[in-house]
Amino acid sequence: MQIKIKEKLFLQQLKWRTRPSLIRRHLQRKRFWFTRNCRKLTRRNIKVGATQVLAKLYHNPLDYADEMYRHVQRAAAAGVQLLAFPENNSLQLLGLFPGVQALLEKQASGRPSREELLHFAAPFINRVALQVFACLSKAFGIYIMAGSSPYPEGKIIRNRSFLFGPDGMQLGQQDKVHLMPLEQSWGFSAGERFSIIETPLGRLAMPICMDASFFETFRSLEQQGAEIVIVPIANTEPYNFWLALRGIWPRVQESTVYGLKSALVGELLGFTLTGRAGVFAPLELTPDRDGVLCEARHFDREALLTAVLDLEALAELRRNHPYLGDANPSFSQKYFPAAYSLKLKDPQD
Amino acid sequence: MNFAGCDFRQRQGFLEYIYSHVKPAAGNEPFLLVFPAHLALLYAFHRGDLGAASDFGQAVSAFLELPPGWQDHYLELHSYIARRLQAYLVPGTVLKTEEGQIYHEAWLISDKGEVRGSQRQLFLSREERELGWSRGDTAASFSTALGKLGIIIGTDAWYPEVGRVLALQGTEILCHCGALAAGENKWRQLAGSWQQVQQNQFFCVESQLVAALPGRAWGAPSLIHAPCEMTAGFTGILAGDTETGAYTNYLEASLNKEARRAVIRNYPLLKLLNPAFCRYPDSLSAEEEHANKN
Repeated sequence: MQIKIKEKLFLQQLKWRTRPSLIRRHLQRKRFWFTRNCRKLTRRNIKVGATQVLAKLYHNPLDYADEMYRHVQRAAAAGVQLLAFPENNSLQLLGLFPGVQALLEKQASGRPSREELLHFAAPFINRVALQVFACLSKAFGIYIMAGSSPYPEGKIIRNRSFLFGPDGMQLGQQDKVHLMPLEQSWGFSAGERFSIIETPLGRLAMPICMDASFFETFRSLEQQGAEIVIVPIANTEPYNFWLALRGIWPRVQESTVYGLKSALVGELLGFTLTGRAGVFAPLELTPDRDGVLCEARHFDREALLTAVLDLEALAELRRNHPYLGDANPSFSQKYFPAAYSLKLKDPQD
Repeated sequence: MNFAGCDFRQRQGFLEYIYSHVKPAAGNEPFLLVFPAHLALLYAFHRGDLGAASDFGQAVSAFLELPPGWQDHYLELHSYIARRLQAYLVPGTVLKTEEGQIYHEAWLISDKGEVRGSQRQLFLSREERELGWSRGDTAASFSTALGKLGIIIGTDAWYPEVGRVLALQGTEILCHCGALAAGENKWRQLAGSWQQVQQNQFFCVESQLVAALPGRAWGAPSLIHAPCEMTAGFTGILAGDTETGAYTNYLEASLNKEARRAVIRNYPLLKLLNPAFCRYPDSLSAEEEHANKN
């Protein structure tokens, strides 16, 4: 009985602490200026930003709001029209739950599983995160990809990214389709398709982290017409240039799109996260012909990377690429259905 | 091998170039040798078989006019090399006409000198399309004493579909016959075979041509690739120089199949590919078309 009362009180307190009106009012008290960044959009000149966020567990949702505000304000002041936040950006709000780190790290019988914890916590942290980014995108008048969140859907949990428009409305979402074994062990379920979001900025897509390990992700998006692909990451691997090169960079080269990588770095929930946020382009569209427009210098510090994208130059390159753009339908139709069936039988065993 | 400085004019000069550089494996270890793309074209040109071709297009046209016996002779020469070196050999590429279509093709010759199969280029560059070449429609994986081998030719390196189909057939070693235009190629090569290796976890022996024809110069370092986790510094390069792009006439490495299997056991990348999603759009369209018809 006593436990039930405690639980009820705790839930009431959580609801009160994460109520949208509290977040809204808190952010409205800040010094905002509605930027003109997205007033005039030209496909020749799209300014994008990728954040590298230093992870922290927030015990107070308003501190999280302040920190996200700081990142957005900095980007907006730099003229950014589309800003990307990292994978698991809202997981930093797990600090709202006392003792959560210990519960997640040390699983034991009688304790809630990680999956149960996420099911319980996700509605609250999403309530905060989505409200924060709806407010910030509207207040600054820019497009914001809020990063990803654990998102319960009935009995399952997705790793889902969200895009907000300059009017504060949610424009689209994307579930992570390829899960790491760690995520599977935490009870996440994979999405089943990739989609693009049409915006006045261009055709955007936002697959998540591991999704960029497979060419199929970007090929699907390219065939749907994607121009800018945002990949939020939260990588638990020790940083190495070559290991990190295996994600978004080759995918951008194979599929002739622009790529934004936003990264969560530092210590979170017992993991050391590394990565270098950046903006990537086909070799032919980068000054040093290396496929990189800008990239963070450090893999463990906060950063904001900005670059200007020329979607007309991208379209022109696609039309005239010396090596890419060919198709071989008879090859694809001959092999792909069967090849993926073979895959299910573990060709590497 | 890159054939820089090779004297193609006499058969003997060509053989001596190969024998002077290639160091066959000790004992009876299986041995694989890969030559670069357009080697037959270069061989024919320097022997004077292509007349006064003044550019690449003319050289190709003249090559396609060679008598049928020419390619038999070229194949016989490489069968001899394979027997002599007791090596599985991918002797670069030839251009071949069949039913009025032009194909860019490579053979796999066994250590006994027998042709084990061939592979046609599957995706074409803009120039190749303009020259009227046709695409093959088959990607074969050949079982050999070395393991399962696949071949990719030129532009195919930038089409990850090719590596994926071969990987899903169980290919363990990819043989890449390349001929990149001379210049800064580091990032272009990394966007090619390197990425194919990293997303499929097989080995790749990338042989690049260093030579010239009138109006055309090729030059890029050959590389031997492996999954990052089994290379020093995680570079994904077992042999070859991506940093300076320096050429080596001959490049070699031992491919540790057990180490590769350990990498895959630890990080089974293809098993993480989501089968719910990986219905390739082309095949999906075909299926949908079929469904609509019914």
